[in-house]
Order: sequence, then C-alpha cells, then structure tokens
Amino acid sequence: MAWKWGLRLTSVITLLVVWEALGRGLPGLLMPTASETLVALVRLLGGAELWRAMWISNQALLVGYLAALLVGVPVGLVIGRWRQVERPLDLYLNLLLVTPVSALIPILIMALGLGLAARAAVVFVFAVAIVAVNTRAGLRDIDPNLIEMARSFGASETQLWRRVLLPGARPAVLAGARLGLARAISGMVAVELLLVSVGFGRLLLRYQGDFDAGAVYAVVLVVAAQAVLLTGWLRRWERRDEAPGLE
Amino acid sequence: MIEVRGCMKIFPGREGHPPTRALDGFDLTVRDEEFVCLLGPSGCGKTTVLRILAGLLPWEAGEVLIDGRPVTGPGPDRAMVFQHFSLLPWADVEENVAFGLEMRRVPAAERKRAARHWIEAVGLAGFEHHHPRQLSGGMQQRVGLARALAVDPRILLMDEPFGSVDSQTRRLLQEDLARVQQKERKAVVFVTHSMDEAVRMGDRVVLMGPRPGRVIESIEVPFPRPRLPEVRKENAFVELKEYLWGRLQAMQGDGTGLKTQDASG
Repeated sequence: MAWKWGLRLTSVITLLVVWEALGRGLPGLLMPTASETLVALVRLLGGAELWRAMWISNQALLVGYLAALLVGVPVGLVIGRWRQVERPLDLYLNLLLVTPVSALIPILIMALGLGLAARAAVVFVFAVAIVAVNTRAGLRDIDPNLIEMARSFGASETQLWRRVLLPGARPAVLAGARLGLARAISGMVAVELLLVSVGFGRLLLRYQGDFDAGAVYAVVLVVAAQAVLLTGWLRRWERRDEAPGLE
Repeated sequence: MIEVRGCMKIFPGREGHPPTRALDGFDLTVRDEEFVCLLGPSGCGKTTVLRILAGLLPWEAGEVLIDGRPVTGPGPDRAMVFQHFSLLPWADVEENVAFGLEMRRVPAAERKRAARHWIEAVGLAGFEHHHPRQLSGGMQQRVGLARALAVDPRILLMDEPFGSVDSQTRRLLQEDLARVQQKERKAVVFVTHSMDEAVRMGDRVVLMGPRPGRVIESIEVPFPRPRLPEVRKENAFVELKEYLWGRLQAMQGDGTGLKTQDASG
C-alpha cells in the first residue's frame, strides 16, 4: 500500500511543479500558477461563498440523481427482463444516451422555469439513461443456466428475482450508479453555466468576469474533488461485492 | 417410473433457418431406482430429453408421464444436476446446497440441517462457507449433486455432470456417485458422451441417434450392484464399450454429420 500512495504523491507533486512552471512561463491571464490557485482555494474554503454555492448546487444534484436512480434502476430491471417492454422504450433510452444532453437544457428550462425543479430535471436527464442501460446489461449478463437451474427447483418469479436476478445484476447496477453520478455532476454544473446562474456555475462565471483565474481554477478543483470523493465512495460499494471470502 | 412415448420436439429455426426436429418418436421408460445412461453423438437430443423430463421445455407431440401423471413443469419429485454446475457465485456452499429447499419454503433451521448433512455426504465437510470460485470443478459438482439430493427427489436428472472435469476427478466422482446411489436408490437419467462412463454407471445404456433424436438401441448392462471399480477390467465391460463405440462410429459414418450446428446439446 505504501508504495502506491508514494506513486500517487509523486504524480501530484510532478503535476504541481509542471503547472507552476507553465503558469509562470505563459504570459497574461491565460493560466494561473499552481500557487495562485492554492492561495485562492484556501481563501475560498475559508469564506462562506463557496460553501453556499456548494449547498445550492448539490440540492439539484441530490434531487435529480436520486430521481434518476429511482427511475433508472427499475426501468433497467423491467426492460432487461421483458423484451416486450424494452421495444417501445429502447428508442428514448438511446436518444438520451447519444444526444448531447446539454442541448436539452433550454427545453427543460422553458418547461420548468429557472428554479430547483428545472436544475434537478437536468441532472436527472443527464444520469437516468446510463443508470437504466447498465442495469439492463447487468440483468442480461446473468448466466441463463442459473435462471434455468432456479426454475428447475421450482422458483417462483419473486424467488427468482430475490435469489438470482437481483444479486446477479447488483455489480452492474452499482457501476451504473457510479457512472450516472459522474454524469449527474456534469449536468449540475452545465445547467448553472449555461442558463441558471447559481451555485458553482455562478461562482465560475463571476470569477471569470473578474479575471480571477486562480479562483476559477480553485472552484473547478472543488467540483472535481467532490466528484472524485462521491464516485470513490460508490466504488467502495462495488468492491465489497467482488470476490467475497477471497482472503 | 418415467414413461415417454412418441415424444416430438421441434425447435423453431432462427432467422431464415429451417426448424430443427430435435426429437421424433422418442420412447423411454425408466423404472424406479433404475440408472439409465443416455449415450449418443452431439446433437442427438440427449439434453433436450432431460430438459423435457425436468419440465423446463414444452414439446410438440407425445406423452411424458411420471408415475402416470403428465409432466406440466418442474416438480418436487425431480432434481437436476447441471453440466456447468450452475452454482450461485455470490452464495456459499451451504446456501447453494440449501437452494432447492429454500425454493420449496423449507424453514431455515431445517434447511441448514439438511444442507450440512448432504455437504458431508458428498465429502465437502469443512467447506460450508467457501464460495464456488474457491472450489475446484470436481468440488463444485459435488455441491451441485448435494443440492439435488437435498430436496430428496425420486428422480435425478444428470446432464453430462462430469463432462467438464479432468479424467481423474471424473473417476472419483463416478465412484462417489455410485456409492451414493447404492444408498439412496434414485431413478437416474444420466446424459453422457463417454462409453466408459455409460457402462460403468448405468443399469442400462440407451443409445440415441441424431436428426431427429431417437432411440437406436437399449442395452442392459450385465454387471450386478454394488459394482466395484475393478469392473472396468472385466472382458464383458471392455467388449460392451467397444460395441457401443462401433455403433457410434457407424452413426458418424452415415452422413448424420457431427460437425453440423448443435441446436440442443
């Protein structure tokens, strides 16, 4: 473990050194140095502004992402099991997956206004398809021999779900939840930058307007840190699934 | 007693392919406590027969009766042992062995007791809390066998159960199954590719031919039970094996084509 952390530390230090050098070498407002960014970061972390922005942004994330899980997982399970249901829904899922979702933001804002509901809806739309598609894949990848085995022992549909389908799909559902979270965070920031100027997005736009490059970078770092921490936390749930009892 | 009369099974052809007649005019009778081996080339419908007997597959024509009652689905009188073990990878040995009982809503304490008993009976005591991936193929199939025996079926349906383990393990599993059968006296329908296995294990070998799958010949195996492993050295054993090989070879020679797509295992 120690050498792994050593490697990580080395890579971070290298990045900071290169960044600092570039920041000093390039002229003008293009890029703050690492030290300027760190100073701005400390200043922001010490004030109330950043935390208020985080709270406002994350309300939309929380509502939108939870809704995406509550809809995406059951939809994925149902279309994974019953192709008759999949056929009419598949088109919309694919659309959501391949369309640059940012293009939908104006539509949602027009429909829902500039409040929390609209921002949560954007987060939801960013995340829901990937959650559903991963859940479906998890169900499809279950060894059909296991389903046949369960049926041969007289499993009812309920028993089949409880003992075979849900445990079998679980790792893919968790992976989908993690990918969905990453997309939800993108959605959260995108809507704030593009249309509804609140939270992190508003900070970014304001510091940009102030030519406070260090602060812009610091906010980006905070958003990135939040994303890494949250998805890392979800990943730990996935790990718990792997290789039970393989000491 | 199992009675199959004039069974026909057709698999619909996939996208432009003609339908496959997997079985046609298939007859089979298996008495209580009889060990019948289904032997035949790939694609002759051996596994299809087993899945129909298990109630997992509908058929097009003919009668399939167990103790005089038509098969309509899986039932507590039958249990299956699968070629690829089909163990739940997220459950430990004890949970896997108890799976059939759990499906039958047997109370947890009783399940545990039965599971422990059968785990010991197949020689896996001490492995109750191991997961399938921690076990060798042979041990995994012992779990599969214990799971089937735990529901106390009258009929065991075994689909090439020892086909995917190495030959030494295979011999060991055969001897262990023979020992279990000596005590438990199930009716067994045992699908195999191996002539040696068919003659070693079966009271009777039913030779099947392909396209459509049907019974070519039913041969009583003349060795009494309990059979010792030494039975393999007897002349009659070797001769019967050679006879079966001759029949199988003839089938492959008459254009029935082993290399064609195997739709039914």
